[in-house]
Amino acid sequence: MNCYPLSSLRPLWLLFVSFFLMLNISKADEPVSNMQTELTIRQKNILEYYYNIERKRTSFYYIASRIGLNRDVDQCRKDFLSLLENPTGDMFFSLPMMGAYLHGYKFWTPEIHDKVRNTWKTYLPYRGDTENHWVMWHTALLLAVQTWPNLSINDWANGRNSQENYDDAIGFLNSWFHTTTTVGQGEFDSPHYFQNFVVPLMLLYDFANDSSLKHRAEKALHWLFTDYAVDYLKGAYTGGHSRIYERTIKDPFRGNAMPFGYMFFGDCLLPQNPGMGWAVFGALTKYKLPKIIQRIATDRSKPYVAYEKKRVRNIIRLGEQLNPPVYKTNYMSANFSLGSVDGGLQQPIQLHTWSVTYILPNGKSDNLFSLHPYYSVYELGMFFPEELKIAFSEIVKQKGTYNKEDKWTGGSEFERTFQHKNVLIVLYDLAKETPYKHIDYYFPKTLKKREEDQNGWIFVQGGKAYIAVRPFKPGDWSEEETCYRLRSHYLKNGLVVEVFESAEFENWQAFKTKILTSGLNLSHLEANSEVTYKTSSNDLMKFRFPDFRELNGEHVDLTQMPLFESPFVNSKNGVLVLSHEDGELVIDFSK
Amino acid sequence: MRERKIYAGVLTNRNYVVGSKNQGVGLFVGNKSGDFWDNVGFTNMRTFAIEIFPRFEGGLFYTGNGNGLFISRNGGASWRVTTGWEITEILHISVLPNKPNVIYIGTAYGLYKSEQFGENWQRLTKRFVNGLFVDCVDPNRIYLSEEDGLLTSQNSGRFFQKDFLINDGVNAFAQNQDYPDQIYAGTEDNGIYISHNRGKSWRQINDFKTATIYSLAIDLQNPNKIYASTFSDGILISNNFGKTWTSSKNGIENIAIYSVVIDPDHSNYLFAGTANHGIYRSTDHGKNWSPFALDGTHVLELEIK
Repeated sequence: MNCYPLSSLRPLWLLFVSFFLMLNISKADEPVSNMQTELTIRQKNILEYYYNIERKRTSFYYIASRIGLNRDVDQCRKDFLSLLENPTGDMFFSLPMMGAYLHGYKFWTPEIHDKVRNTWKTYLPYRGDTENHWVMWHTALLLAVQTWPNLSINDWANGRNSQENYDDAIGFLNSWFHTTTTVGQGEFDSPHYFQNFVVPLMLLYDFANDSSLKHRAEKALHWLFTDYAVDYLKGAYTGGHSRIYERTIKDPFRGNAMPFGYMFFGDCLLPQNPGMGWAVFGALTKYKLPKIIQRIATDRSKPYVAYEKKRVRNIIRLGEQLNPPVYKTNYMSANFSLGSVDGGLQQPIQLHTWSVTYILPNGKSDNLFSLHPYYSVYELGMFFPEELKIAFSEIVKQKGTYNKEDKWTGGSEFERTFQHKNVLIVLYDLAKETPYKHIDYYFPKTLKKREEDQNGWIFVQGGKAYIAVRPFKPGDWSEEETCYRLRSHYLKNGLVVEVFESAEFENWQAFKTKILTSGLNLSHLEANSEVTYKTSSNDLMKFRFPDFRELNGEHVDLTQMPLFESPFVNSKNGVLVLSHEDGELVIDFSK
Repeated sequence: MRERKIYAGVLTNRNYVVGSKNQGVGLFVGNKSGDFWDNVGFTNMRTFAIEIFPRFEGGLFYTGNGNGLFISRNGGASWRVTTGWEITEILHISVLPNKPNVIYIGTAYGLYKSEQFGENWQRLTKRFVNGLFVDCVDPNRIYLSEEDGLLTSQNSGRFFQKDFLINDGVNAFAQNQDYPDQIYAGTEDNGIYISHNRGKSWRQINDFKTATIYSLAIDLQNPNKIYASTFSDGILISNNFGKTWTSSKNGIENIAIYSVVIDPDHSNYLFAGTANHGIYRSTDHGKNWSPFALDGTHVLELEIK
């Protein structure tokens, strides 16, 4: 056996100690390079996933994924040309076309360059009628005119020259930056439409020639990702939403925001959603998320309450104010969230007023909530310019569940909420004339337990969350594919819900015992649409429909709510201040 | 003499969804026999309003649609958008017949005016425009409807008097060109009103008092004959200057009708633009109707020029 004298081992020992020290210093300081390496890996996973999906038709996203992986470039060229043969799809065509074009710019042949140019000369997309449409359209237009500047009115399908188009696009984008960072976003916190905002911003960041625009796009991305981060729970976008589809309510992992959470926050499963083509641009972007935002998204070591103020989509008629505020409250914990908006007609058709979101053992999540299935010509008239009575039939055609009594999306003018930390009161004061005079509760089938108490409480467990629901009025149960529906047929109605981590209790019985110490007073419900609730934590909540809220004897004035308020994110006048542990980041749109 | 054509502004069709591959909206032109129809300009531009001057220059076309105000000065061969991001859907257009460079547009966010073929807009009001009409004889006089009711201006929109003499949204206006003091207004929920003094006072017509009226048309050859298109009452017909009305639904039952126009050359021929069913035609002064063209579309506006 060879032995090495100590003296000859010294250099090795020093090397080992040095390596150990370096490792620990690195962990403490969490250098950007590690985070970026992980991001790069997840971005590549997204590209690979999208590349490997079997597709019968190509798309700009598919092309971009192959370009990003440097594969099948010849086929990409052929596919690109074929997609330009017959442009359709409005801004849903123009934006991904520009994205794929610019990301693959160096690969394209002169024929492709000419054809893209010619597309802008001959095809004029409808620019849309919603906030996300307009962000997409004006981004695509801006990227196009900066690619082909100094062209005349004859070279653009809309008959304006390059400068006019640029001025129009930048005018809208600057206005949108300003409104979003001062009044709030209209299509806020949408698990589906989040991508329709961040992808244009990423393309602006990646390709805008104007450095100040690039910088504003970067700040806007920080802003939107921060907005997502405070409501984010291991892949799920929680709380109240401006716009959501039923498939995402039933399975939060189908939200199109989720791949962006996967890539940039990094603490959830790789989403297996073939429809997530937009994520490809998130996988290709050079945008880097500040570490502090990632930490805010993933640190659930202590529960917290996040307040946010948003705005209602433009009310063009049948209203006094163009953009009334929306007040959001979200209680975030390690394994669940309880979130709500204050209620009413705050976004047509697809509003989601409140839910408990809990994490499942398989890493996915599910939602428990209630709603009043509301529809009216009045609601549509507030937001859409078409002839009132005819607009209704059009909306039913485009959003097929709008007037269905068993739908799971939509707000109601007869619904309001009052949330205090992990306790929520929902009040319904249905008018006799409303088409559907019931409310529905969605109890997902992923709930582990469901016990109905003689005191009227329904105790359920979702993942590691204990949830207590106290409907004010009885109802009837029915079973559906993904849930148990509880339907209650009373005009004056509502519920209380309290949610806890299961780890806070010795056992299930202890949880139920605590809940039963609460006190619910419904004596004024029929006459005044008012309830008083002493929570299991001894707070006294008084709530009268529509907007009288009192906590422990003090009036709750929601109008004082800033754009963001939480332990991690606070805002005022276009400035967002993020703080987490020792870190701070200021996102300043006020200048 | 150039044969008149029918121009149709198509808002949507049965399969249309924003961003879909479906085309078939925008400005269409066809002949009165119905055997020719063509899309002029863009096939994906949801169109709320049109104003057509085929004999002006190379053919002056204005369309109001989801991308703003479009103008063509060569009969639709090329187009220019003259409004920007601040002005979204153009719901109404009114152009001075003798000065087609002067144009008013009613939008969801107010009334605008241009005196330069749609360039350089001046914003005159800020609220949703239900209906818009410029007096045929006195172009300084404007009738503007907001959701609360009717406003009038005597000075080309610089100032609007909130008469609210009609306390409802007015969707449609028509003026008797032989007796211009006589004006008709069709409302959202209260049927038809008539004024005999150029809008200083109005009287609600007794017939169809709760009808939703979308457009009005006066027979230029027989101004005692007036037609109104409605949401659920078919075509309303008056043969006595609006004193009394009857409803015609023969062949056009259960169809919401956005617009009605009369063939200036053969006033027994009428054309109606409907919701979801394209254009219908009557050859007997509106008594009977049959499908004519563009089935499956919402035709918001029609002109025969």
